[in-house]
Amino acid sequence: MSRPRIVFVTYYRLVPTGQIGIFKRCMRLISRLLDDFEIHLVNFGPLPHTDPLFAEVSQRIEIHPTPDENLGDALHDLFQRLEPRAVVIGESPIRGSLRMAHRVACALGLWQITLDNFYGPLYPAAFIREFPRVDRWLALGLTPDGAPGFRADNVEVIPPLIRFPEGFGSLERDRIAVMGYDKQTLLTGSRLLDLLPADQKADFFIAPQWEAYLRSQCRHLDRPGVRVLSLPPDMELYGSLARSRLILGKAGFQQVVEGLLLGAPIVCQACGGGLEEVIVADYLKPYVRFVPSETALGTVMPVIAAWLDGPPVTRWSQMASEIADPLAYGAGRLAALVDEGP
Amino acid sequence: MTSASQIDLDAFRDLAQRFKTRIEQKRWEELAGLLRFPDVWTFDRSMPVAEGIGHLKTILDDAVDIHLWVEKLLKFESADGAGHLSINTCLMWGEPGNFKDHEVELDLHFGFRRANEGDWSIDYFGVTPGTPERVPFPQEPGA
Repeated sequence: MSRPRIVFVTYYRLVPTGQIGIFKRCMRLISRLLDDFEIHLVNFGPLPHTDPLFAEVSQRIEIHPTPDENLGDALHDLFQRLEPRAVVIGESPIRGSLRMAHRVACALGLWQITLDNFYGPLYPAAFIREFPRVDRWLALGLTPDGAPGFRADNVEVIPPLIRFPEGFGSLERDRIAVMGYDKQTLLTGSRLLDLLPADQKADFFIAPQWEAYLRSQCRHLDRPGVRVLSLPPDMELYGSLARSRLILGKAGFQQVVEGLLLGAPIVCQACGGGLEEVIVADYLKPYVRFVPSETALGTVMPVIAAWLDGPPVTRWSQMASEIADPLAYGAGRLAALVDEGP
Repeated sequence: MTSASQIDLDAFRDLAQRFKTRIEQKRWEELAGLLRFPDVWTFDRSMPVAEGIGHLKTILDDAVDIHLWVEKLLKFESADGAGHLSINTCLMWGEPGNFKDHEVELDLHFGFRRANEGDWSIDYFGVTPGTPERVPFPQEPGA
């Protein structure tokens, strides 16, 4: 018996700033749905073939190219041919290609599930108001009360799609992590290390194209305890974050909440898009700081010093005992939302 | 922000939301009911409210899937029974019978007035080209 089909619609873009988060969360979910569903992918933008998870997943899914012109007609033909059980849109279909995929799915009466960030308690109602023809929502984030999630009407809130490393909670926190997937965050991370004690351990997470730049900017890379990890597998990333006293990363929402769930507060390199002004809810603010550039690190050094000496973030740690594998949980909830369709 | 300002901002957002809904649902007469003043500002000139709505109607009357997305808050002021809200938006609409889609970025500027501590109403409306997003650290192409 053939497996039901799901079409994932996502994007990956490099300019004006690198944005791979939407693509990655879809890949994570897909990785847990492959046995039960026939997965099809419509991606706008290039495919990140060097990403380890995508390299693994891509062998078992069907990837459909997208045309530069008449996208709506092409998606209509594709969706009509595939007759998917559901179309999963990687982010609210606000504009452009995702909006077109949403319009086409509406025209064909297809069951639609959209993934987005849970920015705070007001957002479920806002999703429904803005996009009433989306059938179900899966919102990823951290709840104010520390609970793993909840369901409000057609919106289900679930934890970020991470996995807890073995021994989570009892691992020694002895390092900082720099999520340096863009040039500016790498620069800020390099300057941060200049300001910390000479024996400070650090893990730099980078994309391969930034390694030469990092080596030109950071004079600490040959020190013991300083590692450079180029696009490591997810479990290596989670293992590092679960051992970190703080994270320096781009101001991306999932990066923030994944770090907090793993117990590390985060200093964000502001990167446009207004995250710092709008979408860090009050209950997240004690654990998040923003810096506009490497020259402004002095403004957050007192907080960084306190975080390096202080306890980890435990507000959401009960989740680790209730949901041992948030990624498997999230994929299970998505499968359940698919099954709610006609 | 003081709580009084927050209350005013919520009231302004509510009125802007009604404005948005009336455009998305093509409720032109109700839109006119929200704009009870003589003229609106459109890009480079002012015109009577009825003429402005007439232009909008010409563009959108046959359209499908109209969506006025509020991208961000640009400016908010409130004092002494008067207020101002500017928002950056994207107006999108589809053509009937095909999948052609249109979008235009617009900044919408609302003035508000409250008479005798009563409800707020819109007493000014203007539309200008959308403010481009600032990208402080652009990535090199091909990076």
